[in-house]
Amino acid sequence: MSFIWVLALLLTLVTSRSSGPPRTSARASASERIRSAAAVPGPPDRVALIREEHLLNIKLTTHEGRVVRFYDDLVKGKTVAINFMFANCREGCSVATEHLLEAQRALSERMRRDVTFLSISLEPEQDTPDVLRGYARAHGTGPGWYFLTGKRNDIELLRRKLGAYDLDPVVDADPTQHSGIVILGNEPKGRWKAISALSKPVRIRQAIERTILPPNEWPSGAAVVAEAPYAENEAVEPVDLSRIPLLRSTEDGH
Amino acid sequence: MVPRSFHRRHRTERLSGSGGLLPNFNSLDTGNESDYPPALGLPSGEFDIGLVLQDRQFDKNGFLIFDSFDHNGFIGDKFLVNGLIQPYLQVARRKYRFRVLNGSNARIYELALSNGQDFAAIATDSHLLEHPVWVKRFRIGPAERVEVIVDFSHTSLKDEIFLVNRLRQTDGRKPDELVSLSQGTPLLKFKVNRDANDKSRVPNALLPVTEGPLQLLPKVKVQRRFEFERSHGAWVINGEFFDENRINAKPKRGVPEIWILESGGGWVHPVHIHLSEFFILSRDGASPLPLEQGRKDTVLIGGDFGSVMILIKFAEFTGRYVFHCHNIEHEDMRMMGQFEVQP
Repeated sequence: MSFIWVLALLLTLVTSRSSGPPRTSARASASERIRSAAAVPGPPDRVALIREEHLLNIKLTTHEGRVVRFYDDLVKGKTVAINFMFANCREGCSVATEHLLEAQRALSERMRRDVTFLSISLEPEQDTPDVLRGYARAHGTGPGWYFLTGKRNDIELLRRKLGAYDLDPVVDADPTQHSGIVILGNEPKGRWKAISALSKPVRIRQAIERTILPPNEWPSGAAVVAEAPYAENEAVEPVDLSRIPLLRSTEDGH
Repeated sequence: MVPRSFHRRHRTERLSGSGGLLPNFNSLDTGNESDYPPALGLPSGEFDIGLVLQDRQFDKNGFLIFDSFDHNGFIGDKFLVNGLIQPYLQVARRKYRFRVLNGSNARIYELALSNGQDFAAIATDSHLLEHPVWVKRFRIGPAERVEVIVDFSHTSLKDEIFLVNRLRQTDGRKPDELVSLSQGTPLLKFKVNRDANDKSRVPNALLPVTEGPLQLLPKVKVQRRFEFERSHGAWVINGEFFDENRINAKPKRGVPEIWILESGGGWVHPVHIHLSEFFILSRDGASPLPLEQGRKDTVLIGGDFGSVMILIKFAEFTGRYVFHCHNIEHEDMRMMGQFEVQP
């Protein structure tokens, strides 16, 4: 009685994981070998594309006073967790820093060595290296974490390229509503993602682990299931049938 | 009966186009237009066609492009139907059933036919409507499905008719404007090239609603409100990011509830609720349009779509299920919640 048909979509290639030219295996058929020999354009080199389009090589200064280049010195060949903040922020920055710190501390020792935290100031004129060093000390951040300042225009451009902005210019210009996302990148693999730094630290840690590890080594869902559920947060309110047009029209009309 | 779309819930999978339609048939909707009533006799076989609409970007070599740093919602500049850019379909002078799925990440379409003829809409999301709804144009958000009957019997051989998108949209926040039919984007060309027998029918009674709002509303004991908002560069429901261990609601099995779905900041969200279909009771306080009065599992809110009040009952299964914004980038950025149906 029932049957199933599948409407196959013809696009099959290219997920975000593909990079570099297609590999030819030793067992590739003759036609495949001929095709690959004949300079058929391959899929784009994602790593290079992302480097060119998003990972600007702007000049920044660390909270330790070292002058660095964003791409060359901080991102190239590394796994990074990037967020935008400023020392005097009264909204989410401190919470974000605390969450990132908790996530960093919860990583295994090996993974903690593998990931560099980069916190870039949105108020670079006020956030001198000294101010940022004080901020780092106040929050107790350690090795593998750089607070960065630089030229405002450079940082603004980088912020847009990394997706930490709002389409609404009013919201975007409002420092109390600035983006609280942490951008996670495995630069050599071209794997980039983001999560709100205001998420639970355990979720940030898991996102970092998934950025570092290949998908077949990602932590299983069992760990999550084993966690105790949070306290119930049910959004219940009194039932109000007075605003339902269907009931209104039934009463009015009959 | 009506297709459920199947897909892996991850944006790279979506981008690769690995999705499709899986129609179910039953004693009403038999999949054979020659069957006698109570079978509905809707157009079947080669005249029953799924149309998956997607917008995509390609590089100069024809490979798909996706910007992992854009979290607003992916918008493409090429329009695909079933994986092909603006293709054509040779049609006979008779009735067709088109099962339209918006498989785009963030784009909303408003579909019309270039010759101005009507669609007979027969189903929304996973269910047939009670009666066909005749419309000149209809809106369809990500993950929504609308099934329509298009009758080409009044056309002439060699006619070319286009399925046109009249809604312009340039970012993941919301559509920009409705444009005229002539300024719209042709998505699919129908080339009328032959005659064919047509035993199919479009009966006035499709799938009756035996348990609709009038029957269920007196039993409602619980009302919940979910605010879908942007917060500090990401998306929240009732102020919170999705977390695997948070349960946002604990509805009781078999007991209908009212949910109010709202959006702030001018962002449009196609809200998709797993497990059960629902009825839209109101949109911004007004009655929903006729096409939205059937059973739904995805609903557009925010911007011009306003807020909606829905009636939902989880009849069969207990356990944890999700509801989420079906703008794929919003969903990936944790605009998702969970409910746990209690026995």
